[in-house]
Amino acid sequence: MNLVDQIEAKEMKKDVADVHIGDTVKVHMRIVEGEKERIQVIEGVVIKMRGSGARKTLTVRKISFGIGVERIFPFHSPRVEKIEIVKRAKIRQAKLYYLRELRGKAARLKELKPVRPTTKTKKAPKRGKKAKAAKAAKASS
Amino acid sequence: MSALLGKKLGMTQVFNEKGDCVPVTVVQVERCVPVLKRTVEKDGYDAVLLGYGNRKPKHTNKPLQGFYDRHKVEPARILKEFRNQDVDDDAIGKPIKVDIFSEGDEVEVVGVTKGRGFAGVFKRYNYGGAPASHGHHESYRGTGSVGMHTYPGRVLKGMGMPGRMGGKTKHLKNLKVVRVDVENNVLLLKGSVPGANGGLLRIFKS
Repeated sequence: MNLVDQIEAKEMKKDVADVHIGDTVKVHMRIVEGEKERIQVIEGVVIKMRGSGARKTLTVRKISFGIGVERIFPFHSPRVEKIEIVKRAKIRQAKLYYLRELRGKAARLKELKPVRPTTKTKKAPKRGKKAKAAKAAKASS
Repeated sequence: MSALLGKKLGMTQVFNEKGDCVPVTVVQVERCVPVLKRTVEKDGYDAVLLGYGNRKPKHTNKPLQGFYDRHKVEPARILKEFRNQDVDDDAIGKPIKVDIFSEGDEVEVVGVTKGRGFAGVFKRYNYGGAPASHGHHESYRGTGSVGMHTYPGRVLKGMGMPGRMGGKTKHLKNLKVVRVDVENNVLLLKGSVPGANGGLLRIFKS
């Protein structure tokens, strides 16, 4: 890893939600008003993600009082307290700009259930040499 | 001693304590050693000669080797002089660490800008050119008028025209030091610095 990447790696959060395009998310933003600090939750659809490493951002679109609002969050910003995934959707584009032209029912996304597994786990083989070897190992232990 | 030579590694961004994004340039300082000191009494001016990098023996000719031997310093790849700097006698030959700067310091950076070759006035002087439509033809990226008529009868000095761009020494002032990483000998400077990645930079305190 080169030094620039190392510096970026230090800036990055360790346990971040596995956000995909099309997810409906709740972004918990830490907002400082004078002395006080509060958390604001912004819920909307992720229509765009760009950048990599510490420079990654996501754009969340929500309809607020009938007006479409988009907000860009740096993924690893300390001001973003947490990102919660509400639901996943089946999408066919990497950028959901077409949602900007759509309103109401038309702007819905087809929900994906259950939530996509984030990491693939390899199933243990049921038959064959490897399965027998595993069985033997289990029996001996 | 508040000067050093460094290598531009590239740009990225970091978050400050407020949570704001700060664009930074990563500057790595490899072997950077003071080679000799010049003084008013001896040389007519104060300066410190810094060496940067390592020079292989096969690339060091005898006169150069003699110069380094005289000052008891391992040969360096590059030698640069910094005016109005002072260095302790026992610090000569010892590598300089980035901790001569601290976070929040303002530094000056000198580097050589990227060469752009023979560039037009669009790129070189940010001219606007001519409209693309409404009956315009041929000249879209041209200079336009370069002056008046019989009086003054010549083109004024400083008129922007096409020519060689970049590859020149650029001096930036008041760049903030965002972070100092002594372990890797790396400085993070706010904003951009001249030159391509891997380029040599002279950094000193304002």
